[in-house]
Amino acid sequence: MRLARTRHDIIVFYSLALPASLIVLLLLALLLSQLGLSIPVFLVQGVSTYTTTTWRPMYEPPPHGAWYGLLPAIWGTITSTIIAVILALLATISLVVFMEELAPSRVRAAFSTIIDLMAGLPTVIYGLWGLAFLGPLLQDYVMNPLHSHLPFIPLFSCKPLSGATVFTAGVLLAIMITPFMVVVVQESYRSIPVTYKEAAWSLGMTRYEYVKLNLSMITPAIISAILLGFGRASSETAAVTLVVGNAVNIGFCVFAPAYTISSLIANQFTEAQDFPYMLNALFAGGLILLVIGLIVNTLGILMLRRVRF
Amino acid sequence: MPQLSRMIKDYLFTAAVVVIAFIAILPILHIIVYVSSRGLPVVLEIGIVEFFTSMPAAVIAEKPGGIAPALVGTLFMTALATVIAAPIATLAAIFSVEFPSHPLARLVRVTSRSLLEVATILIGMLVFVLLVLPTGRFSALAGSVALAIVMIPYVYTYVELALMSVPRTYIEAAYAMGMKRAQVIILTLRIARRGVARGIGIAVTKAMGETAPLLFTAGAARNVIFAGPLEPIDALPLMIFHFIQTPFDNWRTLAWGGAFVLLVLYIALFILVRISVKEVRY
Repeated sequence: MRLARTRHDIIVFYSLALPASLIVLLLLALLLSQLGLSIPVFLVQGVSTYTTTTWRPMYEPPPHGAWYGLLPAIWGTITSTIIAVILALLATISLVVFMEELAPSRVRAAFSTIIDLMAGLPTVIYGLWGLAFLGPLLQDYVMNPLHSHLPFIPLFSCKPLSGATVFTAGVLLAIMITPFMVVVVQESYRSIPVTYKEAAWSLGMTRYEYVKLNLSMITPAIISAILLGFGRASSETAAVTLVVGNAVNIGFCVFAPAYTISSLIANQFTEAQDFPYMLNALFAGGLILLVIGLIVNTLGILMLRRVRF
Repeated sequence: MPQLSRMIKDYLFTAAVVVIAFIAILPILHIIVYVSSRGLPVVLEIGIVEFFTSMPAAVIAEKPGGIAPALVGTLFMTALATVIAAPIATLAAIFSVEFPSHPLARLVRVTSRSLLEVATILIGMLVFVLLVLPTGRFSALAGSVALAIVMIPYVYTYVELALMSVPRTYIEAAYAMGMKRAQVIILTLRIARRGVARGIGIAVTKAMGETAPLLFTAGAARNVIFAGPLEPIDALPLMIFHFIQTPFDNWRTLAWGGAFVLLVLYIALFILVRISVKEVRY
């Protein structure tokens, strides 16, 4: 590195360092705004903001009038995200194995383009499709049959009254996060040395055994994909808001409408300005979303570094 | 020959992989067909000119009107966001390539990576606090700033990649010729211009389709086609998001038409970024 010595170099350094520090400031501002604006509600409600289930906007401030418990929204985020990650993981592994081991090069190129197209599609279009097509489809062909045949399983214990449920949100999110998870797993899969692969084939392994071995070598990448997928799914707003049903609800049944943190914010932010502490409660929701996102993504990136050959 | 049980397992596995892989890409194909089949007739029925130039009509009106405010808003805010984000992110990327071991460079790399994954609705909340609350109004500027924050980490990431791929020998040759640092940087940017353009293209594609950052910033003004940068404005994703949740036929019709337009814009930009910037070789 050349040291910034001459006047010219100093000018160059600062005119670049300024925009660079702006990016750092942005993240700091995000954190501070969420933290700062959620403090008032913590002062009144304490940690129970995150652990209670009542959501009661009123003009009289909490704790005697209104109450803002975020647990149902947190629960909705967690359940829809878990459904999404499980389904997306299945799709991701299949896509990577298909593209890397089975597909002819043209099909592979086509898949790769399609996956790129999936990754960038405006989320509101996913939401629109989920609302008009996927929700009703799942209600008729997946949720209703599961409920009528297996009602004793807690997950399926409630009857879906519409297509807008936690389950629908989970499936839609799975579709949306799959392309991001594919990129993570595929890159690591490709980095497995050819000699390892040749050695596996030469032992007379079947394709199943061979793929299983390969996947076991990139376990950290798969965990990383799960974490990054979790981060993506939990922070998605527009699409989820359109299909999750938006009701304050908590329970194990995934065929009921619910809120996620992001859909709660999207739905209630505007009216929240009329009620004392309600806006602060939404910022408390944003804070936990931000913190979970930062932790999950950092862990995901650290995990990815452990794939080394 | 492997044992029968191993072969059966292998066949089942292969079959499952192929079936699931195809199921996984089915939704995007269906979305394109479905949105087009519901949106294109709307555009044609209303009439192309009216659809693109008029405002949404009242919910009880005979005809639904058009999407002009949303379309103009999306174009304006995406453009302004690009003007804000591109220079900041590019300069920051130059910084981390020029001073790779400086602590700030490492910090920027990490924060940019985090910003990339932050829920965009939080960006909307931040801009609401910084710009909407103090000025007391939603505005095109606030929406643009929110979109710019969404764009910055994308531009940064791709520009940094592009700059790093410029061969070291070129840069050393430039210094050997007696060029000053600023001159060398400009030269590097020119060599990497395709990569830089690609980064900006990807960020524009992303910003154009964003809904969440605009929810509490842009203001969703649907009765006027662009009132000024400091006045409320609409955007296509915002209009779709709001209208499809209403029970009014007129508005839901416009949501489908708008979704078709947004889809076409997205695919057009996607193709543009792909063909204009293929492989970058030196």
